Amino acid sequence: MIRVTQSQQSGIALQSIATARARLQQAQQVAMSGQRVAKPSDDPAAAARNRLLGELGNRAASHRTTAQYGRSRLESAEQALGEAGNVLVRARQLATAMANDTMSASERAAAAAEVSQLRRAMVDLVNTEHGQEHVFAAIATDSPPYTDGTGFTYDVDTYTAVREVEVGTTQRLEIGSSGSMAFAQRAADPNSVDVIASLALLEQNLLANDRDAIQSDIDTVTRAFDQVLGERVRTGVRLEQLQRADEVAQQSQSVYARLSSELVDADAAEAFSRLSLAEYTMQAAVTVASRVLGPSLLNM
Amino acid sequence: MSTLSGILNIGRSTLAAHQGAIGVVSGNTANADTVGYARREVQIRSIVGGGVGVAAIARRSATFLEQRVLGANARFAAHDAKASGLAAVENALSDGEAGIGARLDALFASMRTLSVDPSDLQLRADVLARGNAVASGFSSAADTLARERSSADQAIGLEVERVNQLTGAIARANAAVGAAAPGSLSRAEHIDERERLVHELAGLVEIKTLAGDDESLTVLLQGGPTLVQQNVASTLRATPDAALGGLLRVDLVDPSGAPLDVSTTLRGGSLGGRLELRDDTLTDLASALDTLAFDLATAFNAVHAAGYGTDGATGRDFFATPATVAGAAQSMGLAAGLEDNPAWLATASDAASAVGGNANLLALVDVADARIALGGTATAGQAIASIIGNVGRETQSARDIATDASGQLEQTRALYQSQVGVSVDEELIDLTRFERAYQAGARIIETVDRMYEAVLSL
Repeated sequence: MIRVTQSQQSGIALQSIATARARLQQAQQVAMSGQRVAKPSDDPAAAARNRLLGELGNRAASHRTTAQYGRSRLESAEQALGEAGNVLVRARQLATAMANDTMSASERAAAAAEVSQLRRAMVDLVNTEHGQEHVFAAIATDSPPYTDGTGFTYDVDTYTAVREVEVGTTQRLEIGSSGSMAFAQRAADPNSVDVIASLALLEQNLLANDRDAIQSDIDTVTRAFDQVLGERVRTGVRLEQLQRADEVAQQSQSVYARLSSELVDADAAEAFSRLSLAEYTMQAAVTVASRVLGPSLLNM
Repeated sequence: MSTLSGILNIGRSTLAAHQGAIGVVSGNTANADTVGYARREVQIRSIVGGGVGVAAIARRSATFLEQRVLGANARFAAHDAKASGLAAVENALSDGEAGIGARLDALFASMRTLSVDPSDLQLRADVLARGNAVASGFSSAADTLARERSSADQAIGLEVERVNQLTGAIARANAAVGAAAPGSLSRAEHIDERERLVHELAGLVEIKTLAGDDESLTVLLQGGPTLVQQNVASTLRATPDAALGGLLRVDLVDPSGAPLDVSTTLRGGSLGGRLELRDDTLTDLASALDTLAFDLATAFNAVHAAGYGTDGATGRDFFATPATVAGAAQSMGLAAGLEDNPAWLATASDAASAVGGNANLLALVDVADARIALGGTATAGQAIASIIGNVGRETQSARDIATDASGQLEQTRALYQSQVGVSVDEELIDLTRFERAYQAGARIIETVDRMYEAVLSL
């Protein structure tokens, strides 16, 4: 028969109470924080996996921000292209009206003054700014892409592409409108038109009261309108793509947040039932210890 | 036939023996909860000519169980010390808003945002601030690891001093045991004290003890070197070692003065646990952090140097170039001058698009997906997750083993105590038994007294 000594009894009682108290503390921490994995040692594999999910979630949030910033920039360009289209519609209306034989030289001179205003408005639209940069400038975005004296300030044949940004793990989208494609005459495209030059030519032909030349300008201005409209359509497509990318990133963010929650968050019902169990265990350990340590022959 | 005086002597011896026995029982009862106290047992023998005497006062012992207690104590102390040290490191390296991983995510996010408008000075400044935060995250984590190594080192120095105090005291206790009479209370008390010292020593270093026929105790360090033999103790010596970066090397110095480096072989007890924490666990974590910092800075710099700032210049680094892998995390920072010159941020891939170009920025963002870490097998994010997993596993393992060892220690102690400890019930029964015997002895004397009176009245 095994001997039971005083220090053995008190040692077992102390150990039981210490173990119960440790379990109670752990259950309290989980119940209070709502987290099953509050630190890496709680579940190293889950903590490592949660970091990777955190990275993916943060990346998705970043993709959303990028898509939203990109949309804001594209909306500025899209608005400018819309207004440019309106300018060209008005220019075409004037050209069509002034190509009529009944128009006098003074009427054409008055129309030339309006076309001059339209041309200056078009220059302003080509030099549209968003934030600290010019949206139609392919390079040197801190400077206007068009000046009245020298025309385009960059090589429109070389810089036709627009800026791309990362909006998905493997997806990059264009977030700009090309000034070259919208407003410039490019060597690679014989049908392209220098939009501002076409307005200048119309103004010049109106002042010259040259009906045939004005008739010819109607076609040029129409092509300029189509050219601007084409870039506006492409810009609209880019806006839609960015919208979709934003939605995909938002969904991804939700998925990663849910997966992360499944990994590290505690189930409330389970956490509180464990807390209750730990409290009962603690009470039992203390009660049993007081009973075990009490009686001996000294009490007889 | 016994004479009256012979019978009187028997009564006297009965009183004396059981008075001594009651004294021993009283001592046992009083020390029922005294740490290191082993139950004394009175061995009462009949003596020539009748009567009884105390032949010896035996101290209960359980050599096999005691060895198990010492081993369990050393195992528990080693992992408990390791778990305590790792808890602080775990907090520093854990995932969260201020973790290195979250900071790196924020850096890449700020670069993606800047890629929308690369000439925006505020966004450029934000990228640099995030880069700085990544660097400070690495250096802060490296500082914590260095601080914990230093803290473990200081504790090692203190524990070496305590080991030497204990081995000296055990040697003196050995001498005192040898000087006391065999089977005496005095010898048992010296053995109790020696046992208490040995148990404390086992919490510091893993030891094995060998009991001699003369009740002297030889204490061996794990692996065989002798710490204490008879009344001679070896000492541990802690000296700063350049090879350990100025941290303490631990030598065992035998009585002849010959040193034996035990820094890499001491692994049990809190001293062993701290040496393992300092030289293996924390060193491995620091090395992983340094390697990742070096790889990340190198990869970033390679891409950044190929790009152009808005001032049209190229060839600049993003992070300060780390000289070596060792210390790369602690010394991590932005390249000199970059923080004050956001224009130096190389966002463009050619001089012509220096203002407005974002191609190089996208190449920098691609570093997030490049397998630049762990020898080209993992991304920076995966390497950070791996470090978090490793520190979690090390902490969990040390904590679990410490908990397991604590249970084993208590179980073994309970078994040991069941052999050598004091049961108050047992002592009270013995007290009653010896009291009855004492009363019987007194009755013998009383009877002889009456017999003398009867004889004298004849």
